[in-house]
Amino acid sequence: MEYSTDHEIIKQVVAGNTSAYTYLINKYKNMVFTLSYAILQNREDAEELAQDVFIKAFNALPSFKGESLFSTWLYRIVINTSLNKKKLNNIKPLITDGDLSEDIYIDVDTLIKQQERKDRVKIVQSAIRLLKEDERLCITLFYINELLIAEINELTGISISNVKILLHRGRKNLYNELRLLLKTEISKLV
Amino acid sequence: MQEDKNIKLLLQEYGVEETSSSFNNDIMQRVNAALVTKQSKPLLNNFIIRLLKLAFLIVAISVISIVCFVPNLNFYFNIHNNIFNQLFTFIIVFWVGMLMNICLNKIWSKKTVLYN
Repeated sequence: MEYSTDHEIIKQVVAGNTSAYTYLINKYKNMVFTLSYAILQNREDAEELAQDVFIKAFNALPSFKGESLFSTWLYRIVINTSLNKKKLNNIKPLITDGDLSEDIYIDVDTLIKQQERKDRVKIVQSAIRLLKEDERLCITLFYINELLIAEINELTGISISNVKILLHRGRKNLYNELRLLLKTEISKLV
Repeated sequence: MQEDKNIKLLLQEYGVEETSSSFNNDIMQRVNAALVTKQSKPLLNNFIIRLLKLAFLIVAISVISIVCFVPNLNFYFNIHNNIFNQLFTFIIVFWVGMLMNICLNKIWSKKTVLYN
């Protein structure tokens, strides 16, 4: 069964069709995980937290009135839960390599394309992780989660002018980190 | 603006982290477990519990009022010792069971809130 809007799915879930919730999970799991990872900087903790967020959202779905977008509501839960967990754990930044799962390769071209993509993913994700905490959070919310500056201000409590400054600095630092990482990768090859 | 678009495309294409393959299953298992807990209903529904409480209050107040306000009340029951002992033991066991049930329910509900 296909659903056209989040509200339709929410109605179904609240009415008792719990399997419809998998549509929402599939749609938002990577965004939720990316955001929690941006805050916690630990893959296992971020995944556990992403699961907790979906459980919390499921329990609170009957009280969701649809005044804001479901995504904004969900990201609010992510930020609150992540910050609470971070306060409790006081986790230190940890840089890990990307997922090294095995893929089935069809031919050399596909292999090269897949390797290229893996390299790009690794470089971009590493560059994001090297940003400062507040810059990383703003960059993730603005570019990946596609929130407006006003929404970031509402969710994080960072003032609008500071969000703009953090986005500007974040962009600049992201380019610098990308440049440095690319140089390192090239020097490894040469 | 173009820079914004480029960086957005770049981050959305290569910056999104992916969850593990068991992510959906783990959540749905927890959702279903939570539903089972929610669906378990109490043995007596709220209406019957309220009715019993009301009946208890009415009887208790009536008995106390009669004892206090009616003078020279000859109100005796001739109960055989064995029956009296059985009744007394039943009342004690019933209330000990009831109190234990209340305490266990409170501890269980605290644990459920912490887990959620």
